[in-house]
Parts: sequence; structure tokens; C-alpha cells
Amino acid sequence: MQSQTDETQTDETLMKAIQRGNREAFSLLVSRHLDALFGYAMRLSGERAAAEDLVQDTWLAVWQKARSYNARKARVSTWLHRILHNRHIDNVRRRVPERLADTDEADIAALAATDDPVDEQAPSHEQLDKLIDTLPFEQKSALTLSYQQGFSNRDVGAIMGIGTRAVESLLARARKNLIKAREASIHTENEALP
Amino acid sequence: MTGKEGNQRGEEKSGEELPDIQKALERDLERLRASRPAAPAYLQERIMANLPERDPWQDLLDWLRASTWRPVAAAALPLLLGFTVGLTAGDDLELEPTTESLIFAEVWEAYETDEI
Repeated sequence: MQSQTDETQTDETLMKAIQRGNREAFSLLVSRHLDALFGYAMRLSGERAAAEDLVQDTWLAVWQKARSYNARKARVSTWLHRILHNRHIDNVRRRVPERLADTDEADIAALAATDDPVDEQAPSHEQLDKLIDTLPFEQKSALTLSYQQGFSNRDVGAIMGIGTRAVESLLARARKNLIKAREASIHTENEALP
Repeated sequence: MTGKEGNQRGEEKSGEELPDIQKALERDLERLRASRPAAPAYLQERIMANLPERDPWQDLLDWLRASTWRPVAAAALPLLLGFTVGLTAGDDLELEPTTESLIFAEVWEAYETDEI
């Protein structure tokens, strides 16, 4: 008989086992999705320790709320990211309510004014990371979920609790803001030239 | 060169190179997935070590909340049970004449002896 926590089991099958309280299945699910969730948590929180706490909180919620998972509504990876996304919002709201406000222009202008010029042809990952981190929360989330985590626009919408059109709009605005920040950096460089 | 001239030059340059910037950005964004940071090895152990026992009441509540039909079914269950009992045991619940006589025997007796 095939084990309930076989490596070949789908996430949905593992979730059924977890709903019955199977810790082995939970451990396997954690190992499958830990890196993805940590990557998203790092992008949202920006700090390693905070990202670790966020990921741990998320898995704790997954264990405790396993019964609320419905395979007809969402894939497991989408559901996991949605829990993490919502927990991050709760954490930030508890600490600094205005952090989630959509005030992007000031941050982008501040980045452009730094002494860290961005090469328009081949920026390093660190430079791109810095640019993405200056984006407003919603744009940063949509961009990360779409490019870094590889979700479809529909899934991004399901995770963020918005429609597909809204996701497309957020992605377009994010790209526009990133280009604007790069252009501003190039201007800064040009002005610094003798 | 004045600052204004410098700005104009920068605007012209950025105007010409905008498609290149867009392409470069798209290329870099596509590479984001490969540069995703990996979770530290101890994190999974930490998660598993801090896993609490599950509350069965919370499990039941979560199960009810997972789909719309579940709370509806749970609410309808006592109603269905009542109907079933009512339909199957309806005749048995009526008082038989003998039982009725037993209950009211004392009253009848008092009535007959003109005490009431």
C-alpha cells in the first residue's frame, strides 16, 4: 500500500492527510513550499528574521486552519501564499498603519537621489531588489508574485484578494515606476558627468 | 553646461533608450525567480518543533466554514431529524384510549363521586 506521505503525493492529497492531523504529511508539505514562502516573505518584510517569523506564523496557521482548505477554491500553493500575504498585512497594520498606503512617488524619488547609480543595461540583482523594495506594497506584491513566485495573474488576484484586471493594472504601474526610477538614476549619473 | 541643459540631454537620452530600458527590465524581472533566496535549513525544524496539538472544536468550525453547503447542512440536520421522527413515529405518539383512561382515572372517579 502506498504511504499517505509518499513524495509522489499531490499537495491536495497531502492537505487531506494534514486535515486528519498527519504531521508527516505536514512536514512534507513544508519542505515543498518553504523556499517559495520564504522568498515571498523576504520580499514583503525585507528582513531575514522578520521573514522567518512570518513564515513560521504562516505554517502554524496552515496547521491550525487546515480544515478550512478547499481544493475546489484554490491550489495549495495559492492558499499558502494568501495566508502569508494576509498575515503580513495584519502584522504591518498592527505596527505602522500608514506603511501600506500607496505613496510611491516619494520613495522612488528618494531612491533615484541616492549615490547608488543603476546601470540601465545590466543592473545587479541587488539594484533591482532595491528598486522593487521602493515600490508601494500592492505593486511590490503583485510583481513579486508574478515574476519571482511564478503565479498567473488570476492566482495573484486570488492571493491578494483582488480581480485579474486590478492585478494587470498593478503590474503595469509597477513596471512604469521601475522604469521611472531607472531613468531618474541615469539622469543623476548624466548630471554628475563633467 | 547648465543644469537645465543637462536635464534636457538626460530627457532626450532616456526618450531614445526607453524601449531598451523596458526590455532590460523585463529580462531582469524574468530572472527574479532564479535569484529567490532559499530558506535557512533550521527553519523547517523550528516550525515542526513548535507545532501545537490541534483543537477539535476549531477543526469542526473550520470544516463548517470551508464551504457554503456545510453550515446549511449542519443547520438542516436537526430539522430533517425532526421530520423523520415525526413521520415515522406519528401514530405511536397519539394517546391510546387505555392510556388516556389511566391518566384521567382519578379525575373521572372524583367526578363520578360528585367531588368536583
